[in-house]
Amino acid sequence: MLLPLTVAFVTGLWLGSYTPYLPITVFLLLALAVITLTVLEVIGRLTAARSLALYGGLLAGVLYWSLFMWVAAGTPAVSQAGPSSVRIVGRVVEPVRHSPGRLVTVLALSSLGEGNTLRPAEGRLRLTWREPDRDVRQGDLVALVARLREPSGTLNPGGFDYAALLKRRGIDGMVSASGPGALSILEADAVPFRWWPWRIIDGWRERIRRAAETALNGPALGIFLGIIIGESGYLDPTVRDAFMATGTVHILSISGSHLGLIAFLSFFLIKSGCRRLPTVWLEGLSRHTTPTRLAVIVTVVPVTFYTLLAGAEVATVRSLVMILVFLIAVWLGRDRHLLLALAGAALLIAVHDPRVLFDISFQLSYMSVLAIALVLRWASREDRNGDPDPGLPRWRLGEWLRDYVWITGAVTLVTVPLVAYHFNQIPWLGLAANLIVVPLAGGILVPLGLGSAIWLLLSGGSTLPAGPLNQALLNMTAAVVEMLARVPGAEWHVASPAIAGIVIFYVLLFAAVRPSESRRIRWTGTLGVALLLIWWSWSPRAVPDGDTLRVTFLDVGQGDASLLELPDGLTVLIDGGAAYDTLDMGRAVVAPYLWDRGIRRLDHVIGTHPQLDHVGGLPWIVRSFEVGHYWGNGLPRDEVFYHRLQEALRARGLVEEVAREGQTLVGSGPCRLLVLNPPVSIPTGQSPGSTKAGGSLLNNLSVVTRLDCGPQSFLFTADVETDALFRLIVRGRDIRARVLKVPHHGARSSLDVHWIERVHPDSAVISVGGHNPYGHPAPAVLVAYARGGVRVLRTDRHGAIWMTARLSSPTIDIHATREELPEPVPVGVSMLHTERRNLARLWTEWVGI
Amino acid sequence: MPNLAAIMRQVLHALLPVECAGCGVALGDDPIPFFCRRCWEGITPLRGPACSRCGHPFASPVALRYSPAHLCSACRLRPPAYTRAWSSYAYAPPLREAITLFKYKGKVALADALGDLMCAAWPGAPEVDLLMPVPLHPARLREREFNQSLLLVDRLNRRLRLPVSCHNLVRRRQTPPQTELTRQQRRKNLRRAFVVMRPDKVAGKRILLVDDVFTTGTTVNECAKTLRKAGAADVYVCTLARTL
Repeated sequence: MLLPLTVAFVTGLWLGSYTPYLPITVFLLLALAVITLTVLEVIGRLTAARSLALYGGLLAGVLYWSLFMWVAAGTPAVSQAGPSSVRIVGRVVEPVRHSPGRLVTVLALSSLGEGNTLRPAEGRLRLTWREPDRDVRQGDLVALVARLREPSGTLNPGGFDYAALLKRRGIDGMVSASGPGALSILEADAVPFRWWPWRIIDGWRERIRRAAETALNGPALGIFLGIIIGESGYLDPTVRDAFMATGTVHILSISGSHLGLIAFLSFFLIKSGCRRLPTVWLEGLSRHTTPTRLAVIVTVVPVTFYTLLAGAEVATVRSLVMILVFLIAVWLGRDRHLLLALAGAALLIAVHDPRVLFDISFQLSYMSVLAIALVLRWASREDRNGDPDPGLPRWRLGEWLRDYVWITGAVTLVTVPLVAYHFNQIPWLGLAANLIVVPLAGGILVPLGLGSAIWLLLSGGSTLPAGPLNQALLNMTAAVVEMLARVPGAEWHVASPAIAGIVIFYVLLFAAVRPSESRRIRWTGTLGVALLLIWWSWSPRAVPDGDTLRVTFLDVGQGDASLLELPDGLTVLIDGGAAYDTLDMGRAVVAPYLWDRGIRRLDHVIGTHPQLDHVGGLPWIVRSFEVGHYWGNGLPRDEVFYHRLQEALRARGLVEEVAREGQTLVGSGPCRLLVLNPPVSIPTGQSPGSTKAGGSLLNNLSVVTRLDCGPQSFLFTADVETDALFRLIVRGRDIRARVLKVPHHGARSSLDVHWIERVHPDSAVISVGGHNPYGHPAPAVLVAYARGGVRVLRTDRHGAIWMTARLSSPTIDIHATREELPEPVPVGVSMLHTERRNLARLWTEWVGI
Repeated sequence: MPNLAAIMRQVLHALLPVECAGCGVALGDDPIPFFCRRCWEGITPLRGPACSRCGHPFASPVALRYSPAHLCSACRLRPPAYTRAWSSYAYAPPLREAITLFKYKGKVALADALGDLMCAAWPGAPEVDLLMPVPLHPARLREREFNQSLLLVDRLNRRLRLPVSCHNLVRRRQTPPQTELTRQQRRKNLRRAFVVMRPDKVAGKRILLVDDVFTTGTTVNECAKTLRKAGAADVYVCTLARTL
């Protein structure tokens, strides 16, 4: 009964998550469920008790979700977000995450104010401290002066919604501090008693981190800190990408797999150790408890210790819950019912916080454990068939290997849709890579590293024991993974599958592996799964119809990135956003959007001018996509991002082609992409320097392009300022356009009312980040466009903006991501109308058309 | 008011459901692990007429009408080394399932319930000085993790309160399991399989030997023989179940 009940409850929660948007539909579905269950009951396919349990579970799920969200919404949000700095006092309530030169944690706000007038306040703030000069532990009461921001992230169609993730984690606001002394710790001697245990653990983590920092370097340091204390910030993103591509990224964080391996090791070491005791002792022991039960009890200790050492993050605690439930099942001798134990664990976790169902890490780890459980059950059934006598021990290595290969395959298969959906990747190499890397990590790296860490804590020293050994083995693992990642086609990127496709995949998979189904159904299921996998791996582009073009202005925060998909299938990318040490917009925003559109080749990439917010994300794009031509303005910069770009171009055998006024970048086909700026007279190769004047010069020399497709015209003005705008008028070329990408994120220095009149656009797009330090877009700019009757769209307000137009028709359809999100249905007359619109919006997410 | 333990069991069974190993019905607050109340209460002691030596049940009470000490043919042909053997229950479902789960599937949670059955049916007759389980070979012990007979002895001893000796009598040869063998083979299989380490500790003692299942009695007989040779005054045998 538990299994169907859990499925019903989880389905109910899921339905419940739609109730604010589709109340009528959810109600109708619930009514439909009643009818279906009644019919099944009448025709005798279902017992009354079971049907009642199913419906009860479903209804309980819907109600529990609504209730939970209602209660969760009751926490006071921080409404102090604004441009001015305030004094913030709060207590550190979550383990501090470190990366080189930076720490991140969560503060529970206690008071807030300007100057000396502090008022009590509530809420949870995410705190980032760059260049910290001291350690912070949980329970510390800290004070800082900073600007309070709302949780924000970029908003792109099918993109990762960071703001929603933060809100889901209960974050009400964000603050950052920079430099030594930016944070002060108050009442250091009066930390409440309840924080003491956590502070001790923080102390251990700190010591391990310091010792590792001195003993290890390179990828070894990043992997070590990741797998031993759950600090993921030290790993180089390129190494992480290699793990991602080979489907082995799960070993980099302390999730279920490491915890499970430690549990497994501890359990079997103790069990077999006890079995090897002298007979008299063993028999004495067995009068009180069996080695298996003793191993269960003892295993709780290292697993819990490891969880605490990992900072007791939600994901780790969740894995701990699953392992403890499983250990209890073994203790009670119910390990045959692993699936039921899992269902019980899911129920516990979902009741604790139902929002977890939408959490990637939960979905991945739960599906993996489910796959492992199913394979083990299947394997044990096979064993029982072949071997009725459980008598004498046999050599089982062959069976272990067989099960292991099956498990790896099963886990890879069941996680394919989730990884493809969230990460646009099919890590097919994981089939082979995990066979090597998982035993290496679980059997050697984690035990060795954990052993070193514990020895370090016990000995009280400050050097990491077995440092060189750790270093060598960890680096070797990284090298193996990077080598595997270089296999051609290893990084296979795909479009996010539609949710309906994912549901169909799991239904077919279930049909394919269910032993009780007929052979025909199982074959149909297998075939369906295979076809879906092929379709997803292929991820074809929509066939160009020779008529439709699509221009997208991506939300890359403060920066530019526009994608042109022309009627004949040509693709042009203009700029690629910024790249910071923790966030590369090329990787995080531009690339996923391209994959989602099925684009694997860019015919032209234009880096309008060498500034971070325009070309920072391009190196990643150049490395990961096939690029036809790369265009720039030919001016070099002595900056890290510029060198990275040049290096990426060289690695792909590309050279920066210099764009100058009058050149036609795209001339064949129905469309023409013409360069309007910089003028021909500008020599290449001279760096304008990094001064303010140099920046202005660079902006004025950025590549301006104009796209003409039949009746449609788009003007992409990069960052040009008034000088260049004036020159564009003087040169006398046609600058009239229906859509204008507003120059320089709407800066005051690029405002020329006369020029706007000459362009005379219908719509203007400002590509800008929310709360940027430059004050873009300037109010005067907004006023100027409003006066001209231009519809202004902003990526910070609307998210990504995409426009579809036809050669055969003068209209342009404008879509803003924010407006495509479902909105809560109000009670009243417009209910049906809103619900219809929500259905249309969700249809895209569901069916992908 | 239902007691707390029953509520806990109910909750546990809801979370980790388990079916009765006897009849397949889902368990609620049933106190015996793996078995429903009905099945467990269906286990009744053997009460019919039986051989006064080995406890072998007779088909009809006629056999005992004239001589209450009538022996079965096996005992008359080849008198066993033990003085008297009792078997409390028939080795039949659901007790058979319980013993299999307990012995072969490591469900030690059943030890208490099975021990209680043994205590309940204990005839309480002879005066004994020492309790002894039938030993397991060390290799088997390592594999099984416990000696089922020793666990039963411990449960029985909660009532008898006598000294227990579990290391004196040992099995020195690893023998194939008895289950598949005939009586002849069993006897051969077990010949000189047991040995008494400290004969002085058993000399002159009245010993109660405990085992889980009595099939042909070969195992307990072999143990009894070894103990008698070592000087034991009397050997009685108590087993939980016997095949019929």
